[in-house]
Amino acid sequence: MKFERWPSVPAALWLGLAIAMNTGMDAIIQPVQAQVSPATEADISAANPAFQGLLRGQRTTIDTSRNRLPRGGPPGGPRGALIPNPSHDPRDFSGNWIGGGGGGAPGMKVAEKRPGWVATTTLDGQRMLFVDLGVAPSGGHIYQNQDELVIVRPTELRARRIYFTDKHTQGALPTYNGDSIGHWDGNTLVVDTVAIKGMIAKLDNDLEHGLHHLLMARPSLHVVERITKSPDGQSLTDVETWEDPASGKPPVVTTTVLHYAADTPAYDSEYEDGGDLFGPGYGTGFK
Amino acid sequence: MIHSKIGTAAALTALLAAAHPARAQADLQGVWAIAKPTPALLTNAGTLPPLTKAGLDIYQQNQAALAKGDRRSWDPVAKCKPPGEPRTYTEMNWPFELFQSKNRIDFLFQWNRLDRAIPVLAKQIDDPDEPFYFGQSVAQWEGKTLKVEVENIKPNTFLDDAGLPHSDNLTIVETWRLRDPDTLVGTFHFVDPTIYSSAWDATMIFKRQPAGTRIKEDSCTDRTHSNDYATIDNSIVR
Repeated sequence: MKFERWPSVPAALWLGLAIAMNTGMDAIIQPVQAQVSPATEADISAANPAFQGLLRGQRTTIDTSRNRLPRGGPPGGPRGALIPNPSHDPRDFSGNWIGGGGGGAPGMKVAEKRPGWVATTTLDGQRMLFVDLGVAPSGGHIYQNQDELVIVRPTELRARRIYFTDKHTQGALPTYNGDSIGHWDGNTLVVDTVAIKGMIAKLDNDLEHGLHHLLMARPSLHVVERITKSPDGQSLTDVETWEDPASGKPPVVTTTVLHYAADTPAYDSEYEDGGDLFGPGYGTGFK
Repeated sequence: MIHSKIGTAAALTALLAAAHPARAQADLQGVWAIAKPTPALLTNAGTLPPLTKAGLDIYQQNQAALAKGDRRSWDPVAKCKPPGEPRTYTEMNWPFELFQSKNRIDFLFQWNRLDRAIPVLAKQIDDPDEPFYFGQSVAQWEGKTLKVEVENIKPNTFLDDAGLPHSDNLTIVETWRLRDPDTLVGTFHFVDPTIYSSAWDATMIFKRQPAGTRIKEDSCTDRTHSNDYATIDNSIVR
């Protein structure tokens, strides 16, 4: 999906528009603690009449047929036409990003070539969640504030949190996203992740015997990412170093590149039901 | 030529005004949890919602099953399916984190890592035929109140833990606003002629969680069926 521009508009005006919009974005990406006051009488007077009672705390009814919101996007315009360009602030990663391919966890090749990595077998009907580190080839929507950077994506581990702190959570139990902390090295976000569990990659399915061969995370797995925004703000490059000291093998380095996307549909993860084919939570395994 | 430029500038100004509502919006962001347990959703008047005969039959079946301790036969949540809208908000001890940007709102629930993503004044998905657990939502700001319309909600979900049903005709109009900096108010206007004899309203109050509260990673399947899963200690194939 590409962002469409209006070529007839002078570049300077576009720049002004971008700056103004980015300023607005900055205004809305305030620290979580930032608050506003409750609606004032002026707010209530200015509101849609259907909501004035609600704002005054009264019970009311809303005629949904009269108040329907438009669902077609900007009339006649490209989808996402009103969505701003990415910020040119090199430390502002907020917005929609889609995968450009590559990167991600070490997969089958690693397992084949590096026997020190852990592989396991599970029966059909069992379900394992993937380790889901990195900015992820599938991309996602990034929110960012002074405390954390959150990558929301339409996959099973929907939100990955990177906390801006210098110490890992003491005694953190292993999770599929692990315990991620981040700091800035110049304009590069360095993310350090430990306490990771789950399936790194699916190596092979032995359908005849109902077996899956999986590459698994081990408690010693340690991932360091360096995420940098391109000068034009249009891409993020995540260089991921996957290291498992217990394997006795050198680290594996992968790279993911994400591109800014003006609009990405937001909807429930279809994995909730799509997984019915695969196992528990989703069909036979839960009966 | 100059008129053309003036016209373009005016159009851009109008575009800016239309695309820049951020300053008028409230900042709803933060970590929230419902203020009190809400196992059964009631109307604002404190009564059972006005079920039709068809709706009452389903509700009573669910209640009878619950009385026997049976949830798995009728409740998709027992199989780790998403609770749906608005039930996901009612779970105590399961906070959610709310993020907002100019064009999108995200409710990130701790419960099974669910995410409810709502576009602000933008079409969400091209094909509206398939129902979703959270339905299809679209939002706009009315002053400092966020208005959300929801439709196309999976009919096999329930509105609360008690088994309050709905059909595929359900539409919900929600409003979200701050009563004070630490109190978030959600109102829900339900219209479903198949299951309810009239429209009805409910309100939920959410309290801001203490500073530093983090949303933990939760895997429902791991939590409820840990014995079903392979672990890292399982057989090593090489």
